[in-house]
Amino acid sequence: MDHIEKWNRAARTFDWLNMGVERRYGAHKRALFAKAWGRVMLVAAGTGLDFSWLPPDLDIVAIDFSPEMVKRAKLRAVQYSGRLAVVEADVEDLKFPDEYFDTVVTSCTFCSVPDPVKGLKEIRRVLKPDGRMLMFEHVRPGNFLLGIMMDIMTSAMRKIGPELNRPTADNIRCAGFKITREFNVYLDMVKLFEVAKY
Amino acid sequence: MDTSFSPYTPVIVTVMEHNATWILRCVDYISTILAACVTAGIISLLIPSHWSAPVGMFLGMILSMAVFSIIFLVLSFLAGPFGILMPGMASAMITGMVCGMMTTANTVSLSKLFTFGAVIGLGMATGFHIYDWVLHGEVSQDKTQRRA
Repeated sequence: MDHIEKWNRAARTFDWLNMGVERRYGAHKRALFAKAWGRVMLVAAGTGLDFSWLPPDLDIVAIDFSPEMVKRAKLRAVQYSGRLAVVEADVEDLKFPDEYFDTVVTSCTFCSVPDPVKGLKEIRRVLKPDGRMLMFEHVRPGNFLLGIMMDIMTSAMRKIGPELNRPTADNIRCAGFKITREFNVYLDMVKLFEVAKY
Repeated sequence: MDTSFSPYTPVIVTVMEHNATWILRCVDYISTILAACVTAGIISLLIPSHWSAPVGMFLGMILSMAVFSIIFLVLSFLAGPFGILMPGMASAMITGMVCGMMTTANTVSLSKLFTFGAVIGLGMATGFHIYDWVLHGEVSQDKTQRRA
């Protein structure tokens, strides 16, 4: 699978490349993820950088489709104060039963999932009826010129990194979710979403 | 803030905890101005004055992207990519194209090119800062649902 190979390679430099993102937006992530409760799934855990922004003492399953990412995340998971299992899994084909999780957390996830709507529909399946999804995502800007800039950047970066021009808000609705809160963190490009199943 | 399992040093976490966003904002301004000024300097060194203006403009644009890519790679580690990417790319590209043309006209000194780059960089950084200030915060869901 090409995309798994791509993220296996990216795992080596992932911490360095995301250092700036964590430094700048960590406080926003921490405030959003503080709303997580019950049985939690963290989608696309990467090397586990986001573990430090999750509230302590939760019951968390962190998934990623890249074996290299999972290997690194497992090393970081032992420092978490609650229960944190890191599992190799693809969000487009989850093995969990229906309505299993109370909260799903994503962090810069749907820029790298090959079929984002399929992945979101799988999340909707495993989310309990009163569950919610907390998302920190970068999306295609609404501004015409900035959108074109992101399209050009994406065509140059697609082989080595994330896609910068995903219409994630539309994808969320397309998967059947309802966005209950949307917050612009930087321009209308870096956003927080709180999403309900119904 | 519990830093016991943080992958970052306590100093960095402390900076974040004190909401020192102005430091990161300074990096945005510095990177944007730097991208434009370095582009202007490199263009004055590499593009000969006897070339035609369209060629100068095109080469200026290519050089600006090369310069910006290096600055972006270095500074995005410090302050994240998003605040640097768009203002830096826009200021470098505009400076590259204009300075490429100005260099071929053979009438502009290096100091004037630098000044032009600095003004464009500062203008872009300020423009994006204001645009971010306007957009930052809650998005009305009524409006969003209609747009969908």
